[in-house]
Amino acid sequence: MTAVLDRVEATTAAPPARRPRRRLGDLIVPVFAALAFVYLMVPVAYTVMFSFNDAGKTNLVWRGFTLDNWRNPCGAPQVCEAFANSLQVGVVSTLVATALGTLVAIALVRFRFRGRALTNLLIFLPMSTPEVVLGAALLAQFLTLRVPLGFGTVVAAHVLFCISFVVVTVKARVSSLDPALEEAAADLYASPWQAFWRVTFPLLIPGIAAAALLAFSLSFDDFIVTNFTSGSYTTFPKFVYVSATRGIPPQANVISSFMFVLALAIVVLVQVLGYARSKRLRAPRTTQ
Amino acid sequence: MTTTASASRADATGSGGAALEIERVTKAFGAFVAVDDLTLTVPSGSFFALLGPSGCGKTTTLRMVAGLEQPSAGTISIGGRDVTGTRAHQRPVNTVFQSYALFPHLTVRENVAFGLKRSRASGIPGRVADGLDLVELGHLADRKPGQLSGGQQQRVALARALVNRPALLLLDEPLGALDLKLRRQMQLELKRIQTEVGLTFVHVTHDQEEAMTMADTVAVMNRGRIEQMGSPAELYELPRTSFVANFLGQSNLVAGTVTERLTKRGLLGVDVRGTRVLVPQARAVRTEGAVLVGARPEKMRLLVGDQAPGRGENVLGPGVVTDVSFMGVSTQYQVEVAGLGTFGVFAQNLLGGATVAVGSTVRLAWAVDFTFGLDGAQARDEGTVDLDDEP
Repeated sequence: MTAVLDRVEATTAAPPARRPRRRLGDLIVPVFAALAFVYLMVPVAYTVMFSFNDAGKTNLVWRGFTLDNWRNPCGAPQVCEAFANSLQVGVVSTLVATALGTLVAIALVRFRFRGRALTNLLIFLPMSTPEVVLGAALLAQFLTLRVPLGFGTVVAAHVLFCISFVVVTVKARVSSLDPALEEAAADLYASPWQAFWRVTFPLLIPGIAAAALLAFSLSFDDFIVTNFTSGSYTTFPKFVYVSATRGIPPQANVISSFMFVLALAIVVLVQVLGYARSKRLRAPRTTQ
Repeated sequence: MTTTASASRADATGSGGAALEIERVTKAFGAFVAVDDLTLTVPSGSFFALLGPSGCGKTTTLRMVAGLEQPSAGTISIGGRDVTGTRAHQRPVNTVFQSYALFPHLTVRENVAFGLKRSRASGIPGRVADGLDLVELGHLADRKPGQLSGGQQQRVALARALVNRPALLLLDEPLGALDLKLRRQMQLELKRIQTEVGLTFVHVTHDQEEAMTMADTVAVMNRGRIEQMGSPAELYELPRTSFVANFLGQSNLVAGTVTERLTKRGLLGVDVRGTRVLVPQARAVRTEGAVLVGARPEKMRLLVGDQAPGRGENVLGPGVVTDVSFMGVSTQYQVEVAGLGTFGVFAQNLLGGATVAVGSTVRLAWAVDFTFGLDGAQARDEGTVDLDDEP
């Protein structure tokens, strides 16, 4: 008995000598992480804080706390119009880019066709091209073709760069699908159309949803390409940029904060659902 | 299980099944010919095994029957109807895939109901329940495939195919992913289900033991062609090619030349390095020139000292025992005969334990009636099973 105890003590006694040093080393990562977090979060905190500022003409200095801005987010001229425009552009570009991008992704993974390698390469181009170049090129094109700038041209431009991200995201999901699943569906009398909607599509939903969220956030806060291709059409980022010269109204902060909280809520919700689902999947196994 | 229950189940799943006819089918992938001018008839209601090493074209054949591949030439008929050119979902065939390919987003019940829903069958819930009972998984109907063990997934895949009462059930190495014990258990289970539902089963496997225990008829495939087809006992006792002789069980093969024909007794005299060995003419593929003389290891026995061979026995040797492995039921001897190579001999442990020690000089004797003759142009070791492939 005592021998055992001795041995236990011996093994636990050894580490304390080295512990203090290791503790210092262990601190480095959390400290840097905290610093990085603060660095990233300060602008956000600033934005949220100044959404409660009782601003006069400019929203640059703190003049006291108020809830007026949150009660009436459309108080400032054009804020809500720009926001609504951005939402519209975002939703339409996301729908179009996600639909097209998903089809491209499936085609690239599942089929062998002429120009497949080239398509694979070209898909990366919008991602790697500087936005200024993309925007300028699109503008030049629209002007040459005499397309009136506005909602349509902005959506076209957004679809163009969103589609790349959709393809890349969905492709990863398609690659991870066992091709035998589609064969099994066909074997069980499902026509290609039924096999797609009953088997392939449901299994791709997580990838498609992720791609759609990504596309929406890219579209919603795009400024450079939008600025080139929108003419007098105002989106939210463009509104913020333009009004920066004469002072951004606090209502813009309200909307920005709201979007931030919304995005955060979505992330938390997805995490919670994912956790609940994995717990549900694990639970019955242990009972066996 | 009571007989009435099994009878009603056989009714519920529709007995019979259809015959499969493959006629002169070739499938080429670019320059590679996977299946080469294959002709094959599977009678309805039989358990048919396509046996061969990986890459022999057996899975390609199965996929062509399922409609997942189209043949480059030839026709495929199911139940007398030519289905060549139709697609997978139009064929009255269901497959149990090697990877099971269960739909991960659907429950076990939904998986099993999938085919019935597509074909708009009536009484789906009842049939799904029957199908799950058949594989004894009724209690797991609401689980997702991810929550099941490998053996359970395998049975779901089987139920999912069976409930559709296909004219033909195709099994693509369905037991390949299971461990040995479970595999043996599932073999019996599959055989029971086949007898119970009476459908035509076409089973693809590289495991010769699996093919022999389960199938009524086995076709041994090699390099896109069928080497030999017949009942397991037929293939085992009378292989017609060295590939079959080696792939299905083990064989002792020695090269020789036909020197005389004893037509009255129906025998061939073969000269094997100076020793005359007799082969029944009816059991020889060739009756002249170079032949391979073969005998199964369990047909051979060891002659020690001046022990005399029995009447109607061939004798080879002397040779030296190089290895003795005691395997409980039997003992396996390896005997090296100078100039002829190594022979395997299985001896039943009737007297308990090994009776001959390593290093002993022995002769080999076996009944002429069990000797078979193959084409001498074939390689002796063709189809020898790679140890890595053994389960």
